[in-house]
Amino acid sequence: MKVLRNSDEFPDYLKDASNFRGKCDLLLLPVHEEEIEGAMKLASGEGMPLTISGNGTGLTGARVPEGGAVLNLGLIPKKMEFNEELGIVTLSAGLPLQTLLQAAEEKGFYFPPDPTEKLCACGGIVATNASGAKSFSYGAVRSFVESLDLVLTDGTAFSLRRGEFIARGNRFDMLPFNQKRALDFTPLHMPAVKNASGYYLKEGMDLIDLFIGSEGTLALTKNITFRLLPKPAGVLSCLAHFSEEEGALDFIDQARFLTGEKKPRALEYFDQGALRLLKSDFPFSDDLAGAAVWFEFETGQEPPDLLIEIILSMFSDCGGKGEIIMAASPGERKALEQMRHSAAYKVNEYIASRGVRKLGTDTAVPAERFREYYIESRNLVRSAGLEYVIYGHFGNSHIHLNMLPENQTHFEAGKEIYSELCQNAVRAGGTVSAEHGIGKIKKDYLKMMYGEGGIRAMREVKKAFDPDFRLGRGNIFDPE
Amino acid sequence: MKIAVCVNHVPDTATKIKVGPDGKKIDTIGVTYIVNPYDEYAIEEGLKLKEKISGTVYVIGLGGDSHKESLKKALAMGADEGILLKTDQDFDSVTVAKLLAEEIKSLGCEVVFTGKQSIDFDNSATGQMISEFLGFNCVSNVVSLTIENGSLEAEREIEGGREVVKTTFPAVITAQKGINEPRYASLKGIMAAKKKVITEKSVAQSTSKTKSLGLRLPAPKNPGRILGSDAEAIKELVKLLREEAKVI
Ligand SMILES: Cc1cc2nc3c(=O)[nH]c(=O)nc-3n(C[C@H](O)[C@H](O)[C@H](O)COP(=O)(O)OP(=O)(O)OC[C@H]3O[C@@H](n4cnc5c(N)ncnc54)[C@H](O)[C@@H]3O)c2cc1C
Repeated sequence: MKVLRNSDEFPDYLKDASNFRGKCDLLLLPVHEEEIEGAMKLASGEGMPLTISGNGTGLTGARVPEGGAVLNLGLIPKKMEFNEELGIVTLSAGLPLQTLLQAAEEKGFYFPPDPTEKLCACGGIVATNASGAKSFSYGAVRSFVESLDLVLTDGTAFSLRRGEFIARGNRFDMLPFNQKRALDFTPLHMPAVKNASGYYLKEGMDLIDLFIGSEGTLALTKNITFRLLPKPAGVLSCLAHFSEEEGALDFIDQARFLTGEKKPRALEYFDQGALRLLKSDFPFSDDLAGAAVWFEFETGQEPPDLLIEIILSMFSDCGGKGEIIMAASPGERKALEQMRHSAAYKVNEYIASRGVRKLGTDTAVPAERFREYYIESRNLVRSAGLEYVIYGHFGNSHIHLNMLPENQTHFEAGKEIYSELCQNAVRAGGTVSAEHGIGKIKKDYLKMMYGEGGIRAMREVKKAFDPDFRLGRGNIFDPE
Repeated sequence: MKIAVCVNHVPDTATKIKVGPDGKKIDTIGVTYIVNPYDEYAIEEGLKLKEKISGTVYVIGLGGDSHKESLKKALAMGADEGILLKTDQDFDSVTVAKLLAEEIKSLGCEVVFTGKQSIDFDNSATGQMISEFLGFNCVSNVVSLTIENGSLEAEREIEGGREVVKTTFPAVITAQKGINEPRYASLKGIMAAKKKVITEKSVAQSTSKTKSLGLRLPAPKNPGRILGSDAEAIKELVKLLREEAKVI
């Protein structure tokens, strides 16, 4: 195991993609899987809090330590074993998502809930219950986790398979690492939208779901088994521009309700600000349009005529601008996907260059409230005179409204608005974070969503696994 | 004006090439094929010319049934008619050029666009040889083209700079990256393409002048080594670059 104590030697571990910064006294880099438990014990032995770090692409400061130790799995040799018959893969949590995606593709499989950023670690996407464009059709990472090998802060290791530990009402009669211990919990009123805010606590739940999305606060994930799907024969991937943003929203509303074989797997939105940001790198996009939608359908070898006709008719009904462009090769499909990634990437780059923190919403609201929420949010930011760009997984009524503060004063003004946008999302029955998680920067907003009672319910659960609040300290909620 | 664009159907650039069992052809199992990227510039240039002076764009391919995929894409981008010179034989560049030239001649085209090379065998010869068979003018490796009053002014990429060349119709232009930004096919174009014709023609009995004896993959690269992810690694890297790789 590599152990480093001078944080000047590992500045990267003191931040993540949100530009949230922290401090740290000890970096633990086990080089074999067998050393993980020892590393956890070493940190507890020194009485330190321990933050688990994935690849640092997180947008909430969750992997950023506020003192204590950091543990990263990056130096452990990565395994990845496919069971093609069962359509599952078992892999090390430190494996980069990109490696999984590529290997799955070569074997004729795919992993639908891949987030826009592919450089994250598989342990990271489980810890944040990440999701991506295709989550419109397939849900978040949660639905693809079959089993986890976990390690508690005191070094206790155990495995958990889906279906193995199901709560009787609000009680687990025993825990995998201690059959004599029961766990009672208070369920949360989780919104009926895509959600990555706080713990998953629901009557009759599966224990594995508690660990998914727990942002490195309950246990370290060592190995993961994911379920995969067979790769579709063909994918229709298109970019449609609209003269007005209303038209793009109409198109999404109509497409959202297509069903069966005509159900889109992804519906992604770009506003004019995002198109302007992207034009120079993606010349096929039209920055004079009011907005654009990137959408994907899974098809046979060829997209059926009927589907194309439906899309074309919706496009013309909704004030489509120019022609719907279509990716006709794997390279072109990648370019459209890349365009979506680039929107997020460029915003993060802007934020880092101004030395401020990210001020981008990750809110989602029920579909029927979405348009109203979109317009209200956009108007709020506009009337404050702040620059912004909007993109997001609009199929899931999930919006990334990114304010672009020039300086700290703008940032402070933006922060006020940000809080209002979260409040409005909660009021509309939605969530303050649909995919990035709460981390260290959204704790106040989580309180808006679940109230003190909800936070207490989560704290109680944490105590059962990490009584000293050592793991991922400062994530999701503060220690009492 | 009748405009010809020659389109090849080649393995995607991301493909990991494997040599097939006969040692002479690549193993095509699992390989995704795409329009030769340089031919996309040729298609775009053909379409732009048609939009400027009106005319018909013929896209011509030579190969097996699967080549129709690439012709269909060109039709979806806006080309008018497809012609597949159907053969399962592999020909050398001069034979391909001859067969294409014969077709272009029978169509009566006055201008021909090709890519500057196909990314499968990289011969960079077909366009020039077509011009020779047809007795057309030829400008290769073109990065910018202006057509005014029947005269063509082209910029060619040459070592360390650019050459400006003027010529007249009939002409063959081979397109290099930078000449344009190829358009994507449109969804409407896909529907329209379904109604467009791809005429299949059998090719005349031909024999290549050169014969491929075999394919060999390059020696595998040594795997990379991760030295670490902290400041220590930099010292180690410098040491290895100096002592082992001897490059600094
Ligand atoms: C350009 C860009 C686009 C993005 N798009 C999306 C998107 O579309 N959808 C989405 O969901 N997210 C998105 N993200 C956010 C980010 O990629 C995800 O949150 C990702 O899941 C984080 O993975 P990571 O390995 O980088 O984790 P880190 O940032 O290193 O850590 C995140 C959390 O995971 C915990 N963790 C990591 N590994 C383990 C482990 N082995 N055991 C226990 N806990 C662990 C950490 O403690 C921390 O709480 C985007 C980020 C960027 C920069």
